[in-house]
Amino acid sequence: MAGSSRVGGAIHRTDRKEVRFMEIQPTVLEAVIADMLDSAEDGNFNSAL
Amino acid sequence: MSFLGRRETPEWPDSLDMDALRGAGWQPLPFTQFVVKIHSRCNLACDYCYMYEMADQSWSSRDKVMTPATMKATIRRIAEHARAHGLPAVNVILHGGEPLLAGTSRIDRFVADLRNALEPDVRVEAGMQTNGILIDESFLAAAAERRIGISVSLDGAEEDNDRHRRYAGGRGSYEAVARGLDLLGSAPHRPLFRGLLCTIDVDNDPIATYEELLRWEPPAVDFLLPHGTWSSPPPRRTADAGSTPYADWLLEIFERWYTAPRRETRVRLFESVIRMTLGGRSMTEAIGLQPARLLVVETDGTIEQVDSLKAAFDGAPDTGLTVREHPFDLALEHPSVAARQIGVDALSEQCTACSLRDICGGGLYPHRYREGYGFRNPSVYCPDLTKLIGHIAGRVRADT
Repeated sequence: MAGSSRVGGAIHRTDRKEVRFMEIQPTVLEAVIADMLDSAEDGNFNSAL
Repeated sequence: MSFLGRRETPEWPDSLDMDALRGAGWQPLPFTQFVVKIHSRCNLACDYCYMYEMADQSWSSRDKVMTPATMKATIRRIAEHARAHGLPAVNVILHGGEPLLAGTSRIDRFVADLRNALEPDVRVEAGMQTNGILIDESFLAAAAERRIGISVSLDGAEEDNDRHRRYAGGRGSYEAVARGLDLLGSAPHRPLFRGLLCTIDVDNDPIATYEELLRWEPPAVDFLLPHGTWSSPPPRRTADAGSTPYADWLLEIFERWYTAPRRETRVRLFESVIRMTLGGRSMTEAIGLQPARLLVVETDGTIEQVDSLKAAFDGAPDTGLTVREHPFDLALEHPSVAARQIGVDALSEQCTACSLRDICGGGLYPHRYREGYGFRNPSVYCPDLTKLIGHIAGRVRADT
């Protein structure tokens, strides 16, 4: 992952509280990668979730 | 055994040489996912439904509801297959028609018997795909007891959803579905909620559609391309390769989803592209080269291939097998089943030479069909898939 930058650079800095909150959230890409590394199962393959 | 379904002339993969495949060392992979049609009718009449509105009309001759004897035979075949192949787990999806028309007690009995027959040595992941209209407290209590995950079909806001998802008399279904989703999403039942399936209508606003789905706080959503083939193209999918209405629609949602400060929900199609871009596996048969390991059992016990093949031609999912007479292993001998397990070898020349080949995988198998030629073609959605995958993969590569 490139540095600590957020994916797409799209952190919406609307107020101080929101920025603090988002600093501890993984980006969407980080969340997807974490799932990919953690999960042994891929869920349903067919058209059901 | 004939593999032609109800066609008179062979098309690919009818000509697939199974002996040559085996001679070259290929071995079929056992089925791990079973879609069980416990009720063949529906309380809705959605205009895009592959069960009732497309080429295959076999639903009209099926048993309306799966009988206890057929359920028992289905469970016996699943257990037999799982044990013969040493499977640690199977995934069983209750499907229809509308599965909740089968009634809570029948569903409860089926899943209880299924678990009794397989567990503890074979883990059972049980799920249901429903239109949500008949979700009630009684069913949710049974679903909690039997550990049945529930996913619901919803196409967006009321006006957008009700353009297609209507009762036979024309009335929209949104209000009734919303009642079911309110109940499913409420505190005691929420752990059962697996997510929402949305069939794309490019006339709907993509961001409004996505945000309307988010309103239900689904753990996952997936966007499904409307079924169509080269012989019967989907809406707005013209021969103009420069036109990409589905990619354009999906990419608006992708950017909204991907650039959000946190992951608001999982989106299976997007996450599958991301995973494969990074060397992982697809989570959907809609893209990728992963072997398809799923099988369908109809209400009358007929063993079929993936049910979305009904969009291709009458009899397309047929195997000529039934749970009463045949083990699932015999379906592994079917050329169409093999065609979905041999990866690149099932692709057209155009797909084989494509730089996105391994991520796209030719798209959803039924979307490759062309009458007279069969399934060895690019997807009818090729321009959309090219643009969609190219964009997402480019974004991911730039960010990693």
